[in-house]
Amino acid sequence: MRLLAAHSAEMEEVAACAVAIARALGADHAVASARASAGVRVTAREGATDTALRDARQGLTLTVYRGARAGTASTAALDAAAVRRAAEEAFALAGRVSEDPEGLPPDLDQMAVDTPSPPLDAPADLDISALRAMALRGDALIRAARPGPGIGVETVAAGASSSEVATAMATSTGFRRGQLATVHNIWAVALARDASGAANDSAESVDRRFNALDSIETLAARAAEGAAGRLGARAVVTHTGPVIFEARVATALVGALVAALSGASQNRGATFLPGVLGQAAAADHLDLTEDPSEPYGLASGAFDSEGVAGRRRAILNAGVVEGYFLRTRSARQLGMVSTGNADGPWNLRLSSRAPGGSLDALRRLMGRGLVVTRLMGGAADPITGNWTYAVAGSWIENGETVHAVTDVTVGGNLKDMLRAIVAVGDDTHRAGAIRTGSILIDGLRIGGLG
Amino acid sequence: MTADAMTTFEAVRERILTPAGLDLPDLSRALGASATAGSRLADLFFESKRSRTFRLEDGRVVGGSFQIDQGVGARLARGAQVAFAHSAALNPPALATLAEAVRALDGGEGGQVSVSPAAPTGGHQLYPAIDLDAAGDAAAWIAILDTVDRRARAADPRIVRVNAFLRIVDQAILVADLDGRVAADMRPTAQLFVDVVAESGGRRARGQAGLGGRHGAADLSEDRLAAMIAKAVGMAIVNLDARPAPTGTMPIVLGPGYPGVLFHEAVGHGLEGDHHRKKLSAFDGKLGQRIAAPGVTVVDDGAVPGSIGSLGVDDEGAPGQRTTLIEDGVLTGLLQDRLNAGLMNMRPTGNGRRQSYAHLPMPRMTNTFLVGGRDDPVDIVASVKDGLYATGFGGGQVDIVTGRFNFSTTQAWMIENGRLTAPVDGATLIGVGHEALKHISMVGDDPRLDEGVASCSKQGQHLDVAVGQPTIRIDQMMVGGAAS
Repeated sequence: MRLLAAHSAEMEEVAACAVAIARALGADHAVASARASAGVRVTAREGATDTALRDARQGLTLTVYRGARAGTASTAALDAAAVRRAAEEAFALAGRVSEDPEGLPPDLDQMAVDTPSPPLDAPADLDISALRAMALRGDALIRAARPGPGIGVETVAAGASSSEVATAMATSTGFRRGQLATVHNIWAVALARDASGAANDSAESVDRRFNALDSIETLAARAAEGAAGRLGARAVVTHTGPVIFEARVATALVGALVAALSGASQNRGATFLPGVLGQAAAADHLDLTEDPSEPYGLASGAFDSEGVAGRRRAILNAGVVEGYFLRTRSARQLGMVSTGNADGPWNLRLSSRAPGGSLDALRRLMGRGLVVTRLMGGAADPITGNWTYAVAGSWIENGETVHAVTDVTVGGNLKDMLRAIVAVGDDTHRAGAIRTGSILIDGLRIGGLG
Repeated sequence: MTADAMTTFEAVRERILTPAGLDLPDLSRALGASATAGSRLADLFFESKRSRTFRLEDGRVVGGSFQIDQGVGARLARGAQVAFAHSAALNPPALATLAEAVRALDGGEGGQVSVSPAAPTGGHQLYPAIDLDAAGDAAAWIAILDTVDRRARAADPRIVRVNAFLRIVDQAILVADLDGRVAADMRPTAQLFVDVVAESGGRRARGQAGLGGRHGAADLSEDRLAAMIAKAVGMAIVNLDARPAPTGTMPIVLGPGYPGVLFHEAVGHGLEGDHHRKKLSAFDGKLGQRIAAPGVTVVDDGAVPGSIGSLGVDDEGAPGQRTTLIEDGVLTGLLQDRLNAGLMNMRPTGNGRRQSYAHLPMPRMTNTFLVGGRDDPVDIVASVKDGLYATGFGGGQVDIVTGRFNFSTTQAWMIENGRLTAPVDGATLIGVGHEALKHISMVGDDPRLDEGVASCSKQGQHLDVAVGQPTIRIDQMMVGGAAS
């Protein structure tokens, strides 16, 4: 049985109804998106359920155009009175703001009226007791883990969740499409203790298909071993040298590149890569590809929130920038056309033409240096590209892990860092839209002792 | 600025319950129907939130939005186990379904409970109830953004871009629980942010500032606007000449206001009751012990008039109040919500907060700050031979298990022989809470809260908070920059 009672057809109806009300008020044009979601989520610790949650949300967002002026309103209630109120508010707002011709929605011929929809919907048919059993199993596995002598392991949380969402969009130009999607998630967070103190780590798996998730056994073991591996961490001396960003933190570096290549950043001059189209911005062995059509991809879709389709394309080709991430407004400001990225990037994959092999192989390649397994927090200046982060990880000598590391910072400039990427591992990790392996970069400033 | 409990309750009832065909007896019935024999706690949280935003880009206000969100969250706790469900639909059948859903999630046995509602609470003198529907015209708010744009551009010819954002929220809440407590509150929020880019000789730099509080747009006064613009423009201009920050352990001086985010991260999070109940905090077992230098007193005060973190009542109906976390260097208090206070046999401290009706309450900070001391800020800077002076930060993080925190500068200078010299770009400062606090050697006489721009994220829930401190000197802290 589905968790979600509503279907995308009902959401299409809500969106179309909002558009009709806006038109009746006198709007020249209107765009509406409606959404309903339902989910269940259970967490466990110490042999018992910690939280059991049932989630149900809905919402409508309506943008109304009067000439080149736009007003937006949204409502969580979807009854006729609430939709009317939203339409009236949006219409009134559109009468107050300035003209923004570049902000007008795309024409119908630029919209994804009949592009194929990638499959995104895989209901798990799991009830709360099945999720509860999985969370309790994760908790038991964490507590039973014996990652090393003298190390005790506790559960911070083990959990499982399943959710379904129906979305739809309608415009006054006649565009009308909906989509169903699912997301399932299981996770394990472990705390390890020994005579030196305590440390935690987490492992998580997210997928649109429940049976494609990593097993709870794998996640519990990874969290327990990860937490144990952080025990006894200490700083290293201040120096300049190579750093491996383990795959699950390397996604943040790809994220910084994506932000720099967004149309909004390019237009505002809030990027360390201004006007970089056609120029080299990263090491010449690197490719970054985007694919909106991957079946069950976490960032797949037939169209963005402006109704524009993305396409499979190269963002980096041998280190050269071949495309920006554009919505209609920023595209017009740059004299280009939308790339269908109004909601951010579609599925991205970073790869190297000189594959770096496993994480072990990267460690051997580096020989001596720092592996970063956690980015705690820091500063990334989008304009200058200056980047400093507090990190934790491990210290490598002769390709082998010597001890856990904490209380250090890593600093550099993103412009230089992208060019200084030596290798990308095949230990691919996916976080939302981004897939990358571990990344080895030379010449970073490591701040620690002395 | 007073909100009488009965008047507030009546206003919230008219806004949320009456249009839904609900009244207090329906709430009592739903609470009674959801509870099971072992229920320690059950509550219903009703919320209606309206917000307006306006966005200025390139000299024009082109984005305007209105949002209305409302619903009810139902929570049921048995021991430490919590069941929770919520509904955006507000009507008697939806409330009955919600009570059944949360009871099914709980899985407990046992009969219905009878609930008798007590007189509503929630009166306070912290902020006025503002009705956004009647709170002035869009034209007035657009005019504020136009003023910000004009003044920022006029302030310095090197300012090439100005973006600004105005957000006005009116939130009405009503909470009713199994013990018969009923409390209501109406919470206004107004916030304004400006983001500028300066350009000179091929270099570009960013400056940001903002202001906010629990008040209407009318309180965005001329003086506050002028100070905000001067701050953003000043930051961008200074940072045009910034050089990469150094790396190493050094004495640091932190300016007053927002740099108090240090105490939010290094102290506040580690003293939230849920982390203590689960024995996850590095401060676990340290109550009554000295964890900071004498002269260091840190409080969380939910009852600062007009401040963005203040609460007449929290989201569980407990009054906003002042809790001393560290008194003259000794750890004295925890931040509690009802669930964790109950399980730890302690008292709630008015820190039960939630992002919305669709989220569970947790112990959260309100306005958290280091209390002022006796030192002159000028003397504090003059006392440092080689170090860093920072007045702007871009937020921070903490790992509560180890107590390790970090936060990053947005505006900082080198101190050489007691004088400020070159500005430096973003440096990341790191430390361990209970160790760093022992190195605080000077506490200034200039305490203040930040301008109303801070926010806090915990387990995915975002809330407005305030942070604050006077100028302080920390004798040694690890500074990580990009300079080699």
